[in-house]
Amino acid sequence: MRRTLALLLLFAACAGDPPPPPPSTATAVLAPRPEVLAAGTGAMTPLAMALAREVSAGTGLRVRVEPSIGSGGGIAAARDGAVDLGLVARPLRPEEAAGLERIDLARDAVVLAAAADFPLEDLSSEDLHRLYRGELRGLTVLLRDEAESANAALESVHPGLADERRRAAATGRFRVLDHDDAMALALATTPRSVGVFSLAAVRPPLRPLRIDGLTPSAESIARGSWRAVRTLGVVFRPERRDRVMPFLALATSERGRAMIRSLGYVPLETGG
Amino acid sequence: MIPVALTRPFARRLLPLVLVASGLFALVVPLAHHLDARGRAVLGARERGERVAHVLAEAVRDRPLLWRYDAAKLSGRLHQDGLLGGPLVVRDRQNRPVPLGSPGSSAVAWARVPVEVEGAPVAIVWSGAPLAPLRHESLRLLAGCLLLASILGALLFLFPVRTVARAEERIAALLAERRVALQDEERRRIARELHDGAGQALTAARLQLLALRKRGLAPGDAAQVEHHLDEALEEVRRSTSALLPAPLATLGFLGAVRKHCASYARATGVDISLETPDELPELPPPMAAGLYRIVQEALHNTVRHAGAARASVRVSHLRDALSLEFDDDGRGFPDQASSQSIRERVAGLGGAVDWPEPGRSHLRVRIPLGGATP
Repeated sequence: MRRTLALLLLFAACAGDPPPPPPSTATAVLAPRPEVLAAGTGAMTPLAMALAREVSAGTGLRVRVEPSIGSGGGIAAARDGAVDLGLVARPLRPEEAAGLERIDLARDAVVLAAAADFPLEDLSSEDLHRLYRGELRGLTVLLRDEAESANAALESVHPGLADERRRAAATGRFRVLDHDDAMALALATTPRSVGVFSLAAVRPPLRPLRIDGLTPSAESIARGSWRAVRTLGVVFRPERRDRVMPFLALATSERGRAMIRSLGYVPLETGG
Repeated sequence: MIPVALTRPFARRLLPLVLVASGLFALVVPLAHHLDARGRAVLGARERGERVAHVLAEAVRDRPLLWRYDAAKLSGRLHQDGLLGGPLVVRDRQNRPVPLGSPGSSAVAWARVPVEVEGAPVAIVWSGAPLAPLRHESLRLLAGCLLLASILGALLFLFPVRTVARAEERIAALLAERRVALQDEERRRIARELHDGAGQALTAARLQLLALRKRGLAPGDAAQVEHHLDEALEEVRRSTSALLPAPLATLGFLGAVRKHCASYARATGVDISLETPDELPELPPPMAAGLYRIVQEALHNTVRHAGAARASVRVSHLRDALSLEFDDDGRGFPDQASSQSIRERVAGLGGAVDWPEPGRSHLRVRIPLGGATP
C-alpha cells in the first residue's frame, strides 16, 4: 500500500499540475465606473491629467487617469469598457480600430532626454548609432521596450537605429524601461544617462538634447524640422461618447489647445 | 555416448528469465529517465512560473486596476528576463486570458502558480514544459536500451547454454567411462563371488568326497555333499544375478557367519570356535557381503594352506569399526600374494588388514562402520 502510494506520488510529481481550464468566453463590455477612467500611453499622461483636473473643476465630472499601460493597453481597455478613454500615441491597427472612435488632439516630440550630468548637449546621427552600439564610453543609454511608440517615431527619422536598438537590447547590457515614469526615474538616478522620452514629459533636472543641431520644441515641430513626432489622441466606445464629452469638448476647445501648447505639445487644429 | 538431457531444459528455463530481465532493463531505464526528466522539467516550469508570478505581482501593485491591459509591456519584460522560452498561460481572477506568452501546440507538463498580492489572489500562471523533446529523448534512449538489452540478453542466454552444453558433453563422456569401469568392476565382483562362494562350497564338497573315500560312505554323507553342491549352485545363481550371498539374506551377517563356521567345521573336521557380539548395527548389504566373503576366504585359507586342526574366529564391534580376527594352529598364513581376494575386499570397504608375520596365523581385519545404521 505504501509502495503504491509512493509510486502514485512520484508519478503525480512528475506529471505536474492539471492544464489550464478553458478561458472565460464572456465578451460582455464592462460596466462603466462612476468616474470617467482614462488610461493608455504615458506620453499623454501629463496632458490627460491636466485636462482631467480642468474638467473636474469646470463641470464636476470626476476624471481619473490611471498609470501608463501603453497605447495598445489603452486601446484594449477602451474596447473592453474597462476605461472610458484610451490614450494613444500611434495609429490603430485595423483590428484595433473596430468598434472605437478616435480623436487626435496633439503632436508630441520624441527626444533624447539626458541626465543633468550628461556631458553632451548635441548629438549627431552618427553619435546616436554609436551610443546604441555602446561605443561612447562613460555614457549610459537607457532603452525603451519594443512596444513603445516613441521608438518608432525616433527610428523613422534615423534609419538603421531600430536594428541597433534591438541588438543592444539583445546583448543584455542595456537597461530596458517599460514606462515613461520608469524612464524618468531611471534617467534621474543613473549618472551620465540618456534615453528616449516625450518632450512634454521632460522636467528638470532632465533636459532634451539637440540632434544634428536641431533643438526639439513646439516651434520646430510646427515648422516640421523636428521630424521625430507622434500624434496623440483618445479612443472611446461610441456609446460612451456622452460620458467623455466634457473631456473631449475641453480638449478640442481653444482653452484645451492652450493647455496643450503650454504643456509642450503641439495642438492639432481640428480634432478628428 | 550416454544421452544426458541438460541443455534443452536449462535453455527452456533460462529463456523466460533472460527475456524478462532484458525487457525490464530495456523498459525501466528509459522509463526512469523519462520520469526523472519530466520531474525536472516540471520543476523548471514551476520555477519559471514563480518568477513570472513575481513580475505580475509587481505589475498588479503598480496598476491594480488595469494591469492585465499592460500585457504588451509585461511581455517585453518577461522576454527580456528570458521567461517566455516555454509555454505560458496567464488568467486573471475571472479566468480571462491575459495575452502573455503562448500555451504551446504540443503536449505540455504544467505547473500552476497562483499570483497573490497582499494575500489576495489576482491571477494564476500556468508555466509549461514541452514534452515532445523529452519523448524524443526517451524514445532514443529506449531504442538504445532495446538494442543493448538484445545484445546482453543474447549473451546472457548463449554463454550459459553453451557452457551447459559443453558440460553435458563432458558428463556424457564421463558417464560412458564410468559405465565401462562399472562393468569391469562388476565382472571382477562376480569373479570374486564365484571364487569365494561357489568355490568354497565346491572345495568343501571335494574335501567331503576325499574324506568319504578314506573312511567309506556313512549315512548322511551323501546328503552333506549334496548340501555343499546345492550351496555352490545357489552361490553361482546369486552371483550371476548380483544378489547377496544366500545366508546373508535370511540370517543376517552374524547368523550367516555362525552357520558357515558350523557347516565348514562339519565338512572339514576342523574345530572352529566362533566369538561374536550379541548384535551388530545393521550393515549395508555390500559391507555385509564383503565381510562374509572375508570370513569365508580366511577359513578357506586355514584349511587349504595352514593344515590346521583348530581355528578361531572373533567378530568384535568397536566404537566405529568392526574387527574380524582369525587364528589357527596350522603352519601359518600364506603369503599376501595368495590372499588377493581378502586384500581387495578390505580395500573396497575402506578398511585395513594386519597381516600375520611369517609362520604365524593371526590375521586381523578392521572395517570402519561409516555407513552402518546403529
